Amino acid sequence: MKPEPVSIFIIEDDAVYCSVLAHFLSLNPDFKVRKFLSAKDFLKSIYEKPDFITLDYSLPDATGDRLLTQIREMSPESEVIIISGQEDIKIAVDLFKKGAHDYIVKDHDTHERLWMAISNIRENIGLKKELAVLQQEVQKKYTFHKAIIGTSEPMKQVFKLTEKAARANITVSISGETGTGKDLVAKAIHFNSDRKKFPFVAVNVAAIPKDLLESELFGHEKGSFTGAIARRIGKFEEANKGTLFLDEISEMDLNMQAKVLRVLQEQELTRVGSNELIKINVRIIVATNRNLLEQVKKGKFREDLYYRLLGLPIHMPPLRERGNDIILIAKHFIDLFCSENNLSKKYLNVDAKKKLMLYAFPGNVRELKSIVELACVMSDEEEIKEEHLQLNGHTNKFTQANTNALTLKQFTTQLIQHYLDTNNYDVLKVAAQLKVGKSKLYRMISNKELKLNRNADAHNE
Amino acid sequence: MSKNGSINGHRLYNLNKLYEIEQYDENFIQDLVKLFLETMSSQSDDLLKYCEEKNWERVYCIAHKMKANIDLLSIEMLKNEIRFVEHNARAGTSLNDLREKISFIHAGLQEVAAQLDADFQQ
Repeated sequence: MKPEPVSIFIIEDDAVYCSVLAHFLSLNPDFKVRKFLSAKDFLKSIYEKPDFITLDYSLPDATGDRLLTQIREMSPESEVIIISGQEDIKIAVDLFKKGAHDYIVKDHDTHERLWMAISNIRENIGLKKELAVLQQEVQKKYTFHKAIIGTSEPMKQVFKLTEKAARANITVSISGETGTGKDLVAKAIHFNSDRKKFPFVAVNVAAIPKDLLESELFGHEKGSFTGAIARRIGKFEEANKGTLFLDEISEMDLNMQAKVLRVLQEQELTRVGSNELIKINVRIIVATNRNLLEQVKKGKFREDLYYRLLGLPIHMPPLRERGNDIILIAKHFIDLFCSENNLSKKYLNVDAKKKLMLYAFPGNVRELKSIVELACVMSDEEEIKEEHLQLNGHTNKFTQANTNALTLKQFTTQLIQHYLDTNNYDVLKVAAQLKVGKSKLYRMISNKELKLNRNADAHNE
Repeated sequence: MSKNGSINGHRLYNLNKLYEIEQYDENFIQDLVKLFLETMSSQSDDLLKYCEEKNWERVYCIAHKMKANIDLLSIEMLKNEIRFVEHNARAGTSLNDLREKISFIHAGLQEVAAQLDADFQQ
């Protein structure tokens, strides 16, 4: 990447010397150099905030240290290099304390040292600018309402809790179906908290082989196991002072759960193959798409760890319960996809919107994204029509039923089926929600009035 | 004509360093020599004037400035002299010798100016 040009102001009352330096530095096409023969002239242009200022220590109308103080106040971003006619350690130290970046004595290779100094600092400036831009981007990206789109009631509740979580240094557990955006909430919490300047480290527990998880989380010493060819720090240490996001925490095996619990309680860990205790300062956010409490009851998740991790629970509602958010999010993805792919702006027509609102979205936002992206590709004009939306057959039958003429029995059956479909066929839960006897549901299932499989349902259609 | 001040007879200056710094940019060196002639002559006059007035503070400041340009043009015969003036004017020592040194520097620079004038005449 070509470096950005740097602006350099040379303040030097000796016209000859000033011209020599300016001409020499101008040999670099990326250096934009301006000359000033007095402090007064320079101060008129200081508002331009140059990247570099080379400052002659003894000017007729100001001393170097006084001018340096002024520069620090008025253009704190500018790097100041002092050029002095003599080597005076006391003055140099004093100037460094006041914020000078370098002190160069006028002699035969001043120009080269100046060139080097500027090239070195320039690299730093480039990195600093890049960092500032990235930080702003991240800030923008994870401002709550920009990161997570939604105006529905369940989402308002999520926003409220997320903001609370960002303010307090508390463990957060996020639950919700796959594709509801649990990771976005975790990032939004981190990037709006006091820990935002420190790392956000995400670990998908399900994606890491069981045997490697311990070394992945806690790190290992060289030679602690076959393949440990070098010392490596783990995710807990990597996230020091920041946030560790443990996604799909329910997939962690019991043995590992005991180790994590110890680390969380003691706030210290030992790397695999080491005896050394390492203090950690990490905020934990966990996420799961399963009901952890049920996992506890089944003996698959440790109760003590469950309570340790529960902290502030945030439940991400499934997309089908978020009403008009479906359309807002679809619009967001359409705009994003069109601008990323240089397509003209597209919009959903009324029938397409209706079709989306009637769909059950088992894959939630992730599924919505792929549906509308495909629709953008399929539609040749600005309008996205119903036929461009290729759904996977799981329409929200209950809502659709409203528009059809049905008998009461048919309506009841479809209502129960809808609840079964959207609750992972948990008969007890549906019976409780609809206030019907569970035996009635079992009977309907054995009579094949209700189905326990969406695919069978789709197949039959 | 010699523009490095050393081939055609004895030259009091040497522009090699300048050519090296400025990557042999003839036009720029010409402009610079012009600038040098202007500033050096007035600085040299000021040096003499403040010495007469025994304003050692100003003498120090001007000598300090002139030092960099004398080095730049490699005016060897004045390198030590200008440092002597700079040092003693600041410290307030050997003040009786300063007048003599400053006169020497003034004369030396006039000679350098004459040589530069001759060498860079179009």
